[in-house]
Amino acid sequence: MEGVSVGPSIWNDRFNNITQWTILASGIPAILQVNNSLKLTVAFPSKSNPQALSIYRSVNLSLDQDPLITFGITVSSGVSYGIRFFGTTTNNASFAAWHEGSSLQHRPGLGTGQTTSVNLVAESSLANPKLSLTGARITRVLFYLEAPALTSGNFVLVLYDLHANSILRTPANSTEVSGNFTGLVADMGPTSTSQNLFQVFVGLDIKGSPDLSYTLYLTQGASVVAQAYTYAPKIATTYELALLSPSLVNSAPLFTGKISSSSLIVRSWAGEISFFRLDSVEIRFLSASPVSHAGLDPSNYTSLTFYYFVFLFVIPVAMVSLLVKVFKDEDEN
Amino acid sequence: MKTKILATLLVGLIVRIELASFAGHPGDLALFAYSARLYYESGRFDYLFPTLPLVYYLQLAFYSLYVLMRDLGFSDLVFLFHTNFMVEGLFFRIPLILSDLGIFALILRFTGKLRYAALYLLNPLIIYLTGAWGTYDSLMMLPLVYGFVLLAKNERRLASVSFIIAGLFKLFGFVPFGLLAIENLVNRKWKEFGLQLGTAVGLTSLSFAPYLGAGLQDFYVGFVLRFLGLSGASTRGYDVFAVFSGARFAGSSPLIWLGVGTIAILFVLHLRKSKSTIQPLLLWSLVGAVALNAFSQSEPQWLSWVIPLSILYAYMTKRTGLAYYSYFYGIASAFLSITILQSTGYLVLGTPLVFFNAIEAFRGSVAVYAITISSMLLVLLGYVFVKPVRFKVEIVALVCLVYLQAYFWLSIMRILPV
Repeated sequence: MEGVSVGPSIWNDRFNNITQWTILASGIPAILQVNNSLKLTVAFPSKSNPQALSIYRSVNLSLDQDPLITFGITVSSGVSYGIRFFGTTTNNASFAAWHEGSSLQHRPGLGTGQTTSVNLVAESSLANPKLSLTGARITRVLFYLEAPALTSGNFVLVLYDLHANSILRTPANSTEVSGNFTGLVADMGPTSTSQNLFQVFVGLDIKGSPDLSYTLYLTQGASVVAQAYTYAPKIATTYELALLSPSLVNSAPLFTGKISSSSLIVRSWAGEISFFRLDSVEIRFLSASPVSHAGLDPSNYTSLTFYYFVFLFVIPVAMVSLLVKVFKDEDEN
Repeated sequence: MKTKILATLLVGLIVRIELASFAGHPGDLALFAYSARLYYESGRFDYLFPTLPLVYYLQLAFYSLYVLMRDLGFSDLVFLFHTNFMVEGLFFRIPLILSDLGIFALILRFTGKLRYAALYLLNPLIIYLTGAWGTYDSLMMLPLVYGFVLLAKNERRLASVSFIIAGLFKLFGFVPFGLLAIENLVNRKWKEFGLQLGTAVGLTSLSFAPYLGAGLQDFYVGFVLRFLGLSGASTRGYDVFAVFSGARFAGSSPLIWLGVGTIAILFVLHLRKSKSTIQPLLLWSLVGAVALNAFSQSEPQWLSWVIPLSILYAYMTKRTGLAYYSYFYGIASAFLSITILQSTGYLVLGTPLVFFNAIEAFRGSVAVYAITISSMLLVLLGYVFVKPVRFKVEIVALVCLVYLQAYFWLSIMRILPV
């Protein structure tokens, strides 16, 4: 078990040197400006295909430092954007530290500022589960702006913050930890099961700042396999029985546990945790479903749905209509 | 008459069994299956069963028959992407289907009109919840309806016990129980009040007794605080206020207490003008169900509570229009819940699958749902409070118009960020 908090800044872009940034040639007119922030203005022409334009810069962030990169960005509405990382291993082999399906990709522009933090070890590990990341470095950070088909006009990406912090970990020998933390990581050891994870119940005692709100994750390596609701401390008791479920997964923890094992991670969304004790963990599995549906053609689903509607709506409504209309007089006698 | 009753019963039974044989809520049935299997496969009582314990006891009783079948060598199948076995799912519905039949019989005996009883048994929302979903609201509604029937016979103590049992299945049963207790207090029936309270404490303690073995901490946090609205978890809400304000409440919404207080006061005022107890009790229980749907999380199954209450109230006050409206309300609620909250394929296939994009996967769908449901509840209150009127097809058009207007402004024009 360890308490985790965001450490000192280990790198930041002051946005005072335009030569550090490069526009990836795409033939789309674009202007890049730097003045305490980075402003990319792109004039997407009207086309029947989706279009994209990327900018990137070199960085040198060792994954051994467990870096957390944070960016503040404003993107015009109507287009999407994303951030991608690339790195090299100790053997100088290149790897992409991003993957499709991540919440960092194809994010809709909102026209307002958004601040996002990314755990680079987790991103690298999710994209390359079998790659050894010891001694690896992130060497490039890339932002892209993309427009769907038939979208034209000027769109702007403003990057007003880009910095990296290290992560401070405070180990504890018991299941109890005190201090000021933004997260907690409990190592659950390696797990392997042939059954489907169903639910996880975690009994915990927690204290923190009045504005504390937090959630829990169960991870296998860097993958989130279950997530809890968002909780706030209660007035009545410090005890909480948190429910984690695979169906609740909609975000990622800022911190990772050991890549080789499962971890229970607490992440605070607001405020700080001053005391935490892990009282109980109950992990529930459901038998894996037998694949009895393998031979069913997807087109049959439509027939099945109509069958469902017939029994749910058509037959009962027809019967009630019959009772009300046809037998009305007789019924009232 | 007997033939018609049998035909209605048969149709009600067949549609439920047919739907239960293949459809089901994969999340809820997985919870029930897990707890039942845990008990019969390992002998461990599931102290973390997600709802009130009476539901668990009843499920275990009926599930024992399924266990017996499995022990005799019966092999069950999983249908498509469902989380439970097919016949296993059917066994979870047996008590629900029996409850529906019981409510049908009670309404039929109480009103003497098959049409009123059929409006309950063949209501698509009730069929959807019992047959397709597999949720247990009927278990609560059976003692709830029986409580009102007993009250009509002036069996006040038994009615009170019936409401307590309803409340031990789903807390809504404690609404008429609480109103009855208030009536006892207002009329200074101290002994009756004491008996009522004692019975409630006794039955509640009895139903929770096994939980004492697991220590009270999980029970306190998992049940007491959750149901009092003091839970730490922020959960979603489908009511119009939560949807438009973006508010997420920890457990129950604090607005419930405002609603409960208002209803209690209005009930007392009504009681002073009324000669009978049952009519004000039925009316304000019905309003309580509407208020819970308007101010609290408003889970789609909660919408079913007003249906039997509306039918009973319609009979007692000669508001046929209200009874027919409750049937239309059931159709519309089931349709909205299926298309907007779950996706058409969810209960059928066991995994979310959209079949009709235009009415299922559109922007602001939950807001459209909340507005339409709120409008329907308002119309229902209109039928309850305004002088008795017949059910007219214009009401169907009005609700459709509300849905289309909400769809146009919130989904197409996107005038609000919902």
